[in-house]
Amino acid sequence: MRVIITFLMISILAACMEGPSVNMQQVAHGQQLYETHCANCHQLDGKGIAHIVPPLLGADYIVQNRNLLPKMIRYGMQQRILVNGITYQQKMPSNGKLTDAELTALVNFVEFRFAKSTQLISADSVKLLLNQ
Amino acid sequence: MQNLNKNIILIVLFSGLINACNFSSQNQLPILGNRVAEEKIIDGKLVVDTIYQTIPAFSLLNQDSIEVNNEMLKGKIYVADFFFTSCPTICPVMKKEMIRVYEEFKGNTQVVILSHTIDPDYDTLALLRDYASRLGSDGKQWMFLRGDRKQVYDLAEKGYYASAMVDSTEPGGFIHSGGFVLVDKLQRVRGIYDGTSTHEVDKLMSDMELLLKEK
Repeated sequence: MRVIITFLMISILAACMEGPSVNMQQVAHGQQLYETHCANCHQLDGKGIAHIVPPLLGADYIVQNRNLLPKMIRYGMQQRILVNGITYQQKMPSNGKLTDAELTALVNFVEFRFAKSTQLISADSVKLLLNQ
Repeated sequence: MQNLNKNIILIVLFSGLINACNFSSQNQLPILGNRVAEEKIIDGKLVVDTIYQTIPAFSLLNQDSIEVNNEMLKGKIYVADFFFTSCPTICPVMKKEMIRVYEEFKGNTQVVILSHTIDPDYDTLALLRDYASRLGSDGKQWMFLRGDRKQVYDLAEKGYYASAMVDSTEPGGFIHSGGFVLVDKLQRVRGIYDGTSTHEVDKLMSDMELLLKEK
């Protein structure tokens, strides 16, 4: 009995220490979605292609425009953007079939992997941003 | 004992001959397409000659509005592909792979790359010029060609064994093959490689080295 109580206490402590910031399960789901829907152009390493497709890795645009990401992924992008001092004008296609939950996982993966962010965005926040 | 030695020498010679044959076939790329046997009289003797299919005559404009035709490519080897700049599917990967080919043979005056747009309505020459510079192309060795839609589609199908067609159900509105087509100095197709596969493009580059050694 004492062993079980000790095990439970350690488990609870470990869970608390991990904190609510990054949900690795969601990030892993986001990675799968990234590989299917984004990596063709932005590449697996997020470095993009020459001056045709902008990089995601270390992109100042992502850090400065966090709130735009859900809409940008769902509806695509037509206008020029400036990323790390280079102007890109290639159209980004829309991803209308992704659900809100998938979009949330994808945004969290992109921010975690390429912008080194450890702050999660919630599904509710993504919904709000999509309706803005 | 003498007979045994003779046999060993014969076996060694024979296997050497087989190896030599294999070596030569490994170092010779196949010639793709139709071939026709033709009788010719050379030095008063009737000789049967094989005529191989070559790239049909074409005339297209490159991104700098300069005409590109078969005549300019004689004596050079080249890689051809078909794409459109707004393509959301395989083209970005094809272009990433073509950058590798370009970087590998950059400055080699015997090597040319021709990327043909299959969407001449959207891909204007000005747009192609911008696209070329964004990919890091010098515009001379790696050229972006534009022409009448029918001419380009026929050239793709009949000359390069590639497919290109309008299809509104496809993302981007077109369907096309992602092949990189290798053409020799006599304008015969010598290989077709999947331009989205790093492994296949590696093979293309090693085959290009082989082709450059052909006279």
